[in-house]
Amino acid sequence: MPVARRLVDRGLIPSAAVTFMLAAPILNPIVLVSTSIAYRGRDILWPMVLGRVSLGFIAAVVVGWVVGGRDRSLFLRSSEAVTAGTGDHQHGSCGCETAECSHATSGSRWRTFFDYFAGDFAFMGRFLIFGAAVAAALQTLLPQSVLGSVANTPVVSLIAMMGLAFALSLCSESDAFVAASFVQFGVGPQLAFLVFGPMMDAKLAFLYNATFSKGFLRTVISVVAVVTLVGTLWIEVLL
Amino acid sequence: MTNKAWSTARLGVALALAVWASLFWFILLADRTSFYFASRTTWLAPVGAIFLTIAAIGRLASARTDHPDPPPSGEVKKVLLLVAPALLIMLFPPATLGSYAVAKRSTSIQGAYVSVTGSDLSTGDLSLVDIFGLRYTGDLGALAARAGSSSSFTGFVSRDPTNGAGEFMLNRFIISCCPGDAVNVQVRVVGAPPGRFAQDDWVRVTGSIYPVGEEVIVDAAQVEQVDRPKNPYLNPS
Repeated sequence: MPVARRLVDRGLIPSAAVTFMLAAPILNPIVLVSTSIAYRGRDILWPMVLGRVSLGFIAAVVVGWVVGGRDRSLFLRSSEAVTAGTGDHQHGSCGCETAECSHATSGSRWRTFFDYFAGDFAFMGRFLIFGAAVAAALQTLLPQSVLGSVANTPVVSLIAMMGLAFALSLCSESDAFVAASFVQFGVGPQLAFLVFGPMMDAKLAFLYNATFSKGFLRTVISVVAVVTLVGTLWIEVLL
Repeated sequence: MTNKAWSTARLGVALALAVWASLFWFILLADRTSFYFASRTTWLAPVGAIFLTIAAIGRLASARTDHPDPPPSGEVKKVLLLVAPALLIMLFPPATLGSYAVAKRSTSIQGAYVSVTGSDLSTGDLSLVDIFGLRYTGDLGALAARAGSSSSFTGFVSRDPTNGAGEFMLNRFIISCCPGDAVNVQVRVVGAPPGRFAQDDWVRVTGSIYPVGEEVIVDAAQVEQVDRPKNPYLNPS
């Protein structure tokens, strides 16, 4: 997310940035290898790996397409809100474009690096801590056994696993090991867990809310949820 | 020439970075990596310690600015929020997932891990990872072939409503990245001294194993209380 935000700040169109942001946690070699390891020895190995890649790709592209025409100003929250408390500022707001500006990119590269590093740490850190605390509380308080009763209910099982992925907030490198342990659920619900979770979870919700405008956030959540639901339902019917 | 002044906001962030760097150094020096990281993610501790230390020093070096700070409303709270988790981890003794987590997390009948030793399970001690892996691959025949053989398992005690007198569940969590993704491995121990072991006690059970349906039962010949292992979580092979 920090990378996507910086890319938009530097002029990249929001649709490309959001597509990158949503695709990166799924479409990378580490996640694909860990998914294949988690499902090795099972006959659903390839449906899981290919399904995850395909649906992740489709969801990211569809979100990018839906937000494609939006103006940058409707994408991010205000720069002042984003950088508040980091000790940094945007050039646009301070008006200083001279070498003396401590934020200026014309200064030392290292200084600029530490400015960005510290800025992202201070901004993302506090929302990440909030999100992680909520995710930990959900993990601690929600009994996962309640999901077993809906394992064989079409659609509801998909929504339940998407909800679980949201609550657990696992990193995409390890979530396949958890998904694979829900053997009472079919391919569709397990895929829903693996596609929805990396794009939208409790931890990310805080970060998204702090970074993006409300309207944009609603669009991302809706589109990711619908694409995941329809895609996994389709795969469930196919298999 | 401009007069530069210390920025309190930047100093606050430098402090937060320093506290987080201290946490990673603390985890390394106190040998607590196994409480927070799986074997394949332990590299995060030294890398985090070094990078955060460099970042804290770098931020401190760039904390003097020629722009006056905005009013420091809420700055202290923001820094406190950033450093609170790190301080809590350093101040309190390390805790591990226990019987409460067993009750909340679904104990899967089949696990997602296959031991690399799974190809040769005809002799030697079976580990909990082996048993989990065999269930996972559905190769219960290999487990059935070991019925009646003796093995030792170390884990913590939990109880469920199906446990009779002299029975308990022996548990161990397997983690892939961190305890957030922990999955429980569980065997049913029978023939233990009734009432001697409490929930969350760490024990080593030696006995004969019997796969029965979807469970593995250990008929205990010996149950002894042990200290929590240095590596409380198992890692997939």
